[in-house]
Amino acid sequence: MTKLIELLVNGVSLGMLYALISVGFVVVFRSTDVINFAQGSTLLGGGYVIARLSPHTGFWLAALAGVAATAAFAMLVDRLLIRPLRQRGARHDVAAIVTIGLDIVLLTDLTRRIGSDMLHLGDPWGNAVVNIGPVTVAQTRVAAMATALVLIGLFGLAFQRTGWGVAMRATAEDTEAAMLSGVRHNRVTLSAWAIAGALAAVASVFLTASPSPGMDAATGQTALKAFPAAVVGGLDSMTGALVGGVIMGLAESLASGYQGQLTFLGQGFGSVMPWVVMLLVLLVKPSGLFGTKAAARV
Amino acid sequence: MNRTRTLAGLAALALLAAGCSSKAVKQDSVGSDGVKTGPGVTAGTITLGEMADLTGPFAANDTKITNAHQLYFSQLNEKGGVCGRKVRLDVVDHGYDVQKATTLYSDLARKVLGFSQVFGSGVNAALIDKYAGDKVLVYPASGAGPLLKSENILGAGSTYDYEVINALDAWLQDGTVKQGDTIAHVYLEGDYGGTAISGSRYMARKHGLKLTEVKIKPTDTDLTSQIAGIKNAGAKAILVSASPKQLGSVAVASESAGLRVPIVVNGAGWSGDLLEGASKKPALDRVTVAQSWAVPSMKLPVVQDFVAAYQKKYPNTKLDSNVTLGQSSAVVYAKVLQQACDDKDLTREGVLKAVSQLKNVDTEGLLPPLDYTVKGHAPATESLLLRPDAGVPGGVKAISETRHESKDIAGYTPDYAK
Amino acid sequence: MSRRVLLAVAAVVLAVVPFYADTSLLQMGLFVCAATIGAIGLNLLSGVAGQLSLGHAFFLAVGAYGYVALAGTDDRIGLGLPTWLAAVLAPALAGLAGLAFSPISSRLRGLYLGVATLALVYIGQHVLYSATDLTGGYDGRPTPRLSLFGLKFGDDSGITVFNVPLGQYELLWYLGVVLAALAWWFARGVVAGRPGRGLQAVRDGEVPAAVMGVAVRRAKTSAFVLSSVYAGVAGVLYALIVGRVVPDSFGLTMSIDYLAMAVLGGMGVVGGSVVGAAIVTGLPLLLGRYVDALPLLAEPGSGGVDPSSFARYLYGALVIVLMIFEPDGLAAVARRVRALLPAPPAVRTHPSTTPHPRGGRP
Repeated sequence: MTKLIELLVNGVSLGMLYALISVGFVVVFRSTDVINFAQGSTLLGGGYVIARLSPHTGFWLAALAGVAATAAFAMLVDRLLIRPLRQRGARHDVAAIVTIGLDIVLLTDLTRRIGSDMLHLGDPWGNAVVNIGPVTVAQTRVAAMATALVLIGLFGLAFQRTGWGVAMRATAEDTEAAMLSGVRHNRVTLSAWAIAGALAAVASVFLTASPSPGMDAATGQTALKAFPAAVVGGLDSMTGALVGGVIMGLAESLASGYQGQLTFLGQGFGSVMPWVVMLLVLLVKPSGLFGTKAAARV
Repeated sequence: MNRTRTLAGLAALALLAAGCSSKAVKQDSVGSDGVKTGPGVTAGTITLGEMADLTGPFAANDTKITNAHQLYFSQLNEKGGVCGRKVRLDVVDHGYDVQKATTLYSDLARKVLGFSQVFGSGVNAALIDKYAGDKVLVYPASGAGPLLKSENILGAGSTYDYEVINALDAWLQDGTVKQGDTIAHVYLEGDYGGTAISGSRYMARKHGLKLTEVKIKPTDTDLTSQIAGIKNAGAKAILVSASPKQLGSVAVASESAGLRVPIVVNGAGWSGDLLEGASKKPALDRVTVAQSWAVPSMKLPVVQDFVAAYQKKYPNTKLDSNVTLGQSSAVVYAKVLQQACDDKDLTREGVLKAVSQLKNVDTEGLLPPLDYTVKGHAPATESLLLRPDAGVPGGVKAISETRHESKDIAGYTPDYAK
Repeated sequence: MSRRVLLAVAAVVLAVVPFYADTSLLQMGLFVCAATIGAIGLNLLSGVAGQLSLGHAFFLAVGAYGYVALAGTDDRIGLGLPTWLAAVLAPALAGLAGLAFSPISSRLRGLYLGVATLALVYIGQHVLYSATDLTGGYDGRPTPRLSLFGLKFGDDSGITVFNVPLGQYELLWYLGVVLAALAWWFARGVVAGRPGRGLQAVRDGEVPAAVMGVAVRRAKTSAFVLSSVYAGVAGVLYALIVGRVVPDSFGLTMSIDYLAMAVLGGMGVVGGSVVGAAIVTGLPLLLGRYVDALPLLAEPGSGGVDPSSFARYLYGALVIVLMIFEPDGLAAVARRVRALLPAPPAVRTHPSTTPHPRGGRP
């Protein structure tokens, strides 16, 4: 029983991390209809900045700098690469392919820089744990859950209540109509990309903190697991990102924890599980659980 | 149109007629010193191929191995080389890409006597059939067992399964684990994990241990869930045959879960980087490293001299046991060449024949005594047991500089050899 | 010169290559041939029909492992079929795999499909590692030598022309070139014909396409199946070249490389895939072999920009720049360059190569 609870807790906390990254996919998709395949390498870049700065400036300042760096980088991507395509009226998969090209370049460069070093971001939580009854949870995971919930909650509120949120939603509904009614589309998309970039850096902190031993060149691959999370939730739904993330975290955690009982699937099935769940969901709901039909337009 | 066709045809014929015969590989011949020579050997040099991963995922490790090979052979050449010939290494980088490795291999295979290194399990798996066709001797920079089935593979030291057996034996002796206890083995899918698990399965059968097998993929870096399963199974100790990062995750996640049990890892799964950050405490407290080859922190003169020379030549690299692995394997390859020279046969066949005769090869403590006369079997079975120590190069120090060998090894036949 | 003369010269050059190139160069050429076939397939799917796929590596794996298992006579599961039959059936198997995926692929659009096909790569690799009896696990399985109409594709073929023995790779070279040419020819037919126009209509908008009478789901399914068959052929050729199939090869990197190849040459421009394949597959191989002779590139391991990284920087940047400035790829760039040069009188403008308005594609 303890095992099940531990796996559930771990799955949810892992899921929150995936949700953080998924939210990045969702804001970008809502405002620009683009899937950002470079999110993984952006995450790696954010982590790299933090790891290099934190021995000199301390963790918090470094984290701030990392978040600012990835946000600024993402804004540059939108301004320099995505906006010209938008203005030309190019198809959205063209923009997605641009982000794949960007991912190739970024990943090559970061991999070359990191080599096989294991980088430490210098987070303040270390190995500390929280005991809830018989269940132990790493403090980093609690912090991750709290951060994810707060951030996702804030975005949810901002979407509903602020003028920015209205503009964002209007853009997602119908870009041209929104622009006609005075929404400055370029600003909205810039802010969306900035948020996605910032979230990538935040996620890098928690992905590489305990119980992970640090960051290496392959850390960006973990961000790929947020893809099934975002798709299962529905690429244009904030709620979907949260639910999708948790589903994926749970699927992976349970499949890894009970792999002894699941040997017929082949050992080491846990990390494939999110992809299987995603295909199953897509079979039933091609736009994801919370995705709207319109989001599937191309 | 007709004229064009005729012209094209004529051009083709002309080109064909000039078709060069340079595609042939050098034939064996006998030199003035009475030594029979084959491809890659001239009167003054022996050329060996090195197919390394200098830019791919294992670049940092393999760069050190390759540098150590370069250093060792340049030292050897200063002392006169082998068989009156200088040994030259033709180094290429495949970046752990099978496609690239295939084309580079074909190019090198025409020019070299053998391969003092072909790095990477995926690359070796793809090329192994070609080794047999070309009759080359290859050092695979790996302790994977299945490779040894090929007579073209030169093992240096033991395979991963013996490291596991010896470490488990030490635990059984000091009472860390007893009959009826549960132990867990976290292992990577692939030939590394596949070799290692064979050793733990054997010891579990032999000593009535319950073995919880946890197979993971190279991309699995958060092993919290797997640790929850291991804790639930009541494991008294954990074996890890995976990457350093995954060892780090096992160490940290088990610490978080309150599962503070001893951990043994294969030498290939250790990195001094683990003595920073969250993994430092559990690593220092609970990790033991098992491997057959020497580490830079050992007092052996052969190690200290080489390590000093290495640091002088490559001052900006961090020392670790990849350097001594490179040194050890270069020493072994040189011994093989020497044997072939003594047999007056520096052809590829001669080299293969030389290996199969080598017995009780002494490497001054770099490796256990090596025996190549038993086919398909690791040339050595002893292991060093090491503990993390932040104060020494490579971050590990031998518990004892005498190697440990389990008595159970006598009755062991690896799964992959069946 | 007319087009025919160009073709004839190209054919002659390709025919004499094996008499000069060493095995290593022939393998490079063959990898480019295999990549060309696979890239053309992906181009039909992603370029012509607008269905983004990152799962190409999976279908290559089906082709490669399919051939090995169908023809296999080792101790793993194998049918021991004649190798020529296995070589024909394996791509069909890849096509079937594409068909089996159609409940998902035909219903999803654009980016959703892109992510869904990612799943194929991950699940596929898991199967390759786990189904040891069929795939040989991490060790992989040796590729049975191809034998076609009594001609053995091995170094024991016994054929010698002008003192040059035609061994395994010399013979495979001819096969690879012929297959690539057939793949190109067939794909051009598809694109120029009715099915191609249907697919283009689907790409430019599913609702208008349906209104125009295109059976959208069927068109998408057939594009997916056709592209899988192409990948299967590429997989068989790949297996024959490397001589042993190992799961390591069929990862996400391969899928991304294929997408880059299809994109670089020009989305929807069949001939462009050859150029894409040459840049993405051929260039790193060539640079890797001749790194010593290249002054600007650092020796691997020395900390500078090594050839592998250089090639990846280059084609990553090319993908970005082309997509933004010239989505029709290098084919369109070449066309522009040609337009700048004084036109020789014999040049005849092919209807399909006339420039299109921004954003549109031929």
